[in-house]
Amino acid sequence: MNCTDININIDRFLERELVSDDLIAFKQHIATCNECSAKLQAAQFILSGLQQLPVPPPSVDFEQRVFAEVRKQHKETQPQHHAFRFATGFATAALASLAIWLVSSTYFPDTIIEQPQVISVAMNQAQTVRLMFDSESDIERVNLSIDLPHNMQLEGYPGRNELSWQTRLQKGHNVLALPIMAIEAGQGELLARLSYGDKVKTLLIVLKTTVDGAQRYQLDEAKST
Amino acid sequence: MGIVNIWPFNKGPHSQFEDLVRPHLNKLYKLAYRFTGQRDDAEDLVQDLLLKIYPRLQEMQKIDKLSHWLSRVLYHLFIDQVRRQQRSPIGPMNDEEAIYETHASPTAGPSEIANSEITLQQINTAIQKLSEDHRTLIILHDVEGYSLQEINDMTGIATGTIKSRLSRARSNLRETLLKEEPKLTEYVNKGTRL
Repeated sequence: MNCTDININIDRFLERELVSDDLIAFKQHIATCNECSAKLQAAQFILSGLQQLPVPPPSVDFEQRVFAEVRKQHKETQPQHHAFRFATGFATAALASLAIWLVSSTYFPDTIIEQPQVISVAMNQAQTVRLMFDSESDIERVNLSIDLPHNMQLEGYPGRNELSWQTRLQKGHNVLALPIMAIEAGQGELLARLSYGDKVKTLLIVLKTTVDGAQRYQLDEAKST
Repeated sequence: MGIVNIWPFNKGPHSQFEDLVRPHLNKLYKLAYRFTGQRDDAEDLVQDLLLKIYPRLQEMQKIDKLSHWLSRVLYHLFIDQVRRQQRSPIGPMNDEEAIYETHASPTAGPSEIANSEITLQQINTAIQKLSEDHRTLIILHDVEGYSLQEINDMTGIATGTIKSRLSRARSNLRETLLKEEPKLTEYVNKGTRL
């Protein structure tokens, strides 16, 4: 190979596409030609630099902002296939010991708070509020109801501030994961009622709209309230 | 004992959309930044992408390689914007490539130059000076590591064409850098690293 060949084949060399005789010829020329050797090293140097080019992180609220804009421009539509069953005909069996916990975590619950808390909820972006019900045994047909404050909404159910349904509790942990979003400023109470026979457990949580639109629950604030 | 979810209702479409897209958001932002070179523009591009694809939620839920699909849509959205702005569109070879041909002389060797102060910023700046099609190929292949086949899937440009354009793009980038920082080669020879 001569210098022109090297020029032509530098990229093939960088892509490791040169084989057998071509590769040997390329290396032989590079070993004897300072100019081509320098060109190759410059090419490798630039390629290495390209692979190191940094990307500045996006804005802190980037994720929240882009998803909120999608929600704003594509209004939520009411799901078609969900039917609510209102609780009637309670069974009379004794209620097993139930503990109600508020679990504050965007993902799987890893923190349990024993008392109702103040939770900050972002505008127009659903975040999951998890309530955990511990049951000592399996219980069929437990009635659950949710009352939401006027400034909050369950995702997918605009205009529905009260929901009730029957469910089955299994022995151990049972989680009620509510996709809640704030629709206007302010704060109010979320009431979760669990009833079975003549037993009723009620959990009250204060939900307030975040000022800064922060997504995550304000655990510290909740603990100090 | 496991945890049983007793919320009986499906997530709404917005949450489904966010669950689907969120894992890819950083990659999309990064790619958008590579394309645009500005954080705000990159964020706007991703925003436009999400607004554009939201109505296609059901289609997205069936896509195996969603990351590739999203990257492809992002790429085309970027190209559309570039074309609207009447800058250099992706497409046929442009004048810059003809210029490259004249600059591609083997005598353009930089061996006699002294120490260089080339930085990543200079490389970044040099990339921005490339034509849109060359810059995109450099970004996709040399920066982001997409294979030629993946670039073909994304852009629709034939692999052979990508290869030849990429080679020209690299040469142009080298030319640009050497023109502005003619000490590069010797700098490299002295073992300095970025």
